[in-house]
Amino acid sequence: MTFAQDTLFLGLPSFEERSSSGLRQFLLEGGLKENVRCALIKEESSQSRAQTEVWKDLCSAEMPVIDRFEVKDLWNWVWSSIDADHESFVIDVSCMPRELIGLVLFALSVRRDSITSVNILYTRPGDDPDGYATTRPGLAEEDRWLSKGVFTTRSILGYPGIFLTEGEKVLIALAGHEPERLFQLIEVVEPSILAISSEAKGTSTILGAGTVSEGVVDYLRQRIQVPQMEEVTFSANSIDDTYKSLEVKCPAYANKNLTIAAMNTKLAFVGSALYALRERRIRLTYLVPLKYNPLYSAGTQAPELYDITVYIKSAQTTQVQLSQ
Amino acid sequence: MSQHAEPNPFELVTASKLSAQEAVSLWCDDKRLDRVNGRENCFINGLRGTGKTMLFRILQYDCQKLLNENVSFLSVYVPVRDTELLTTEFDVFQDDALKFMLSESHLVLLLTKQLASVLTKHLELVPQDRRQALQQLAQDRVSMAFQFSSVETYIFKRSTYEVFLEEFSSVLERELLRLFNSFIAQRFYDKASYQGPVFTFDTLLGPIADWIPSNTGKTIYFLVDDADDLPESHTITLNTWIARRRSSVAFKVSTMYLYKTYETKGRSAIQHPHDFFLYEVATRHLKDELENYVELLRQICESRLKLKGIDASAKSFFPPDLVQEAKVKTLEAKLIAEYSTIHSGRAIKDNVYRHLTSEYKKSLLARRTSGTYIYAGFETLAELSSGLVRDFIICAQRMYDSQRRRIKPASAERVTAIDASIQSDVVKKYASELLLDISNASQRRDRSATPEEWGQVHRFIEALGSVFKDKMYSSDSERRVFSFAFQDEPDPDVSRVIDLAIAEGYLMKGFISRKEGTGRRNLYMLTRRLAPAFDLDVSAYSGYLSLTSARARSFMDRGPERSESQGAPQLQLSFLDSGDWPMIAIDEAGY
Repeated sequence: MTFAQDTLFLGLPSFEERSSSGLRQFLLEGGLKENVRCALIKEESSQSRAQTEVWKDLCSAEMPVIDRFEVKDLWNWVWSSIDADHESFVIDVSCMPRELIGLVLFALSVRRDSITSVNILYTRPGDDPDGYATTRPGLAEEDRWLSKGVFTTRSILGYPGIFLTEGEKVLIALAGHEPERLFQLIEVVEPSILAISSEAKGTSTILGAGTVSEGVVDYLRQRIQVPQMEEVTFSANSIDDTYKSLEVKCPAYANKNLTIAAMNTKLAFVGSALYALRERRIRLTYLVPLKYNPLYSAGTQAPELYDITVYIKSAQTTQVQLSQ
Repeated sequence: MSQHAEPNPFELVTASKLSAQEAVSLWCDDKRLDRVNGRENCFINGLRGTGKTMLFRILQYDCQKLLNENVSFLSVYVPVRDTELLTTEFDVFQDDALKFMLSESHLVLLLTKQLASVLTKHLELVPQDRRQALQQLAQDRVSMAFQFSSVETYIFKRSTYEVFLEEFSSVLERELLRLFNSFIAQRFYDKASYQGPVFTFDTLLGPIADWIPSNTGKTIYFLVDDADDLPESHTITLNTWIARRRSSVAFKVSTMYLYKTYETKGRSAIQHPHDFFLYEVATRHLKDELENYVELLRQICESRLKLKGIDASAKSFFPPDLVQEAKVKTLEAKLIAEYSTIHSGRAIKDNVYRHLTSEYKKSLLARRTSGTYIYAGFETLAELSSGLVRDFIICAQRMYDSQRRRIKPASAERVTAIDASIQSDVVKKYASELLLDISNASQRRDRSATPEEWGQVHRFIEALGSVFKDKMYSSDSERRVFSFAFQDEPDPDVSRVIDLAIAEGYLMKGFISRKEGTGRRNLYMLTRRLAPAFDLDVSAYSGYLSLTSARARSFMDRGPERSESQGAPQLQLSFLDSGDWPMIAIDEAGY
């Protein structure tokens, strides 16, 4: 992985150990410090102090504080970060909230004609005995969660979908490790068809993650009553496979109001968002959590790079009028 | 087929998705319909589950045709929750300088599209000889909207009426997409000026709406459901139309007490009763001169049972606990004898009436069986649902399932009544869930409130319920208390918590006359749905408590003020502000 010197890097430091791995890799592989754009999430600023210091040591980028509860705040940071001087972008999604990832992809898509490459950097947490708080052995039961509480449920800006009054509502839910959050999202959407699954076997990003997601799906399938329950295939470790799976699945819901809730890995989320950028009738919905577990993940693996240029180029969003 | 596969007669249904036949077969109440029906604009306020959407379903033309031979109005249903209106784009759009112009265009397109959809479903609405005129009108109005845009106008094919309606709908849909998906949704990143057609009430919806009554004899009702969820600029646009009071159109707007504003574009406000009639679907009163909620529930209940082939009255299906009734009767006789030595005349009966349930509950407590008080009987269940039909149905559904589980799988036996113990267990569990759910911010409709504020509402309600419970277990002359009024002006934080509690239906607002005889003050009543959580008597309430703002704040911040061990009700009151507890009799309290 080598980065052209003018590549712009977007990422966030967080309380997770893996949050600086992508930046380190970017700088090691030819990226320039001055091309780093980062921000601090307001509520996490105290928890993520150690990682913030690492980021400051690695690059001298300004770190504006952004409020993840405020869409406008997130959007303003994204839109101001993607300046017109750059044509190549790398986005470190490892510790970015999903809503922010959605906004970055959307912002790039409306500028796609002036872009030459977009890559995703993703760093998995350490494998056994590290991993997520939900998979880590030896962690007390009360610490086995990723996020808690709900601030609000909203469509992600840029992914409103096309909803028709007479249309039936369909929700495709890519289940992860948060049963209550997904349950509440399903309650808000009130679908008449729910396609819900955990990741395809053998695609989990770390050991034991698939078992937890399967448990979440079993629990929700027992608890939720919707007229029609279906399954959906997706991959937790591949943007391409998730995109292609949705490409196969979604046409069955033509003329219906289709929402996707991608709550598995960030890679599965990116695959879903890219598909929704092409199929504009799809709404991406996100449930904003109140807080994250400081023990969210432990350890870090080597960052992986995924080229998504072709997907950004095939987006069907309305492009910005650059003459303005 | 096993009896266990028998459908539950109390299955929850989404009113808006019912077929006309289903809706009419489930419909019981025409008094509510009478209140809403009419040419005037109307706001229908009520909590979730009070039957607003069902009312709107029954107002629709397909249902009305089944109910009446001659229908004098044509309803066009506009569900806000199922449209693109609930997107983050519209929140961000509220900062846009073009918001009113675009909101009007958007709302006109949405409503006209819904109207076209009704005309398509009921082709017979427009007489054969008037169809050409409607096509011409639509063509003229669409062309007018396009004339200053950079987009070429649409010319309808000179074809059949059916084809015209299809074309008209698809033009409206295409323009909706152009406006929202290609423009409003990109305004936040691209400030390009709008060059598409602009549709206004006066140039498209109004003229077509005027044409309908004069050519079909039917006034148009636009039924805007869940209007609280309209973006603010759409709300102001709708208010502006309501303020005009156009004779051909009536707007029937349902809200859940969170309608964003009554402001119009002209900065004035629409007012009740000048611009619209206000109808509160469920109030603290379960019965008034026009409506009787318990009777309505009886009809709903019996029609659902009948539809599933169960021949039972509501009272026999939900019987009271006969053992408990006998014990209460015995206690009543004992109290009459006892009070006859202290009081005379009517006072004997009055005091027995006031104290009977309290004394019974105290006798259970003395035997350490306070938890065995049984809430059962149709009327008790109806009162516990506090005007919310959906709550009654949810509990009845759970009761039916529990009762059915008691029948052996192979048995041919059917559920013909619900055991009193099952009734009681279900309503107690439901009340506990409701209480616990107060602080669940994600389930609240008011998205501006913080989780901390919901925590305050939770603590306030718990404290209030505990005080009422203490009162129930006291030896005071009046013990059946379920409401309160403020002695002084509540501070803004307290008012905010009270407003949130009202918006979610934990409290209901009424009024009482001031003792001084000068004006009224607000009275707040705890929802009966929570009564089992605090072990309260729902059959009647006799008075209210007078509360200071400071004490209310203490409730919000600290919750129940209990000094005794949990589970054992405190028999002496500890929260009094001034050493006494002002009580006012129910008649005086404006009930």
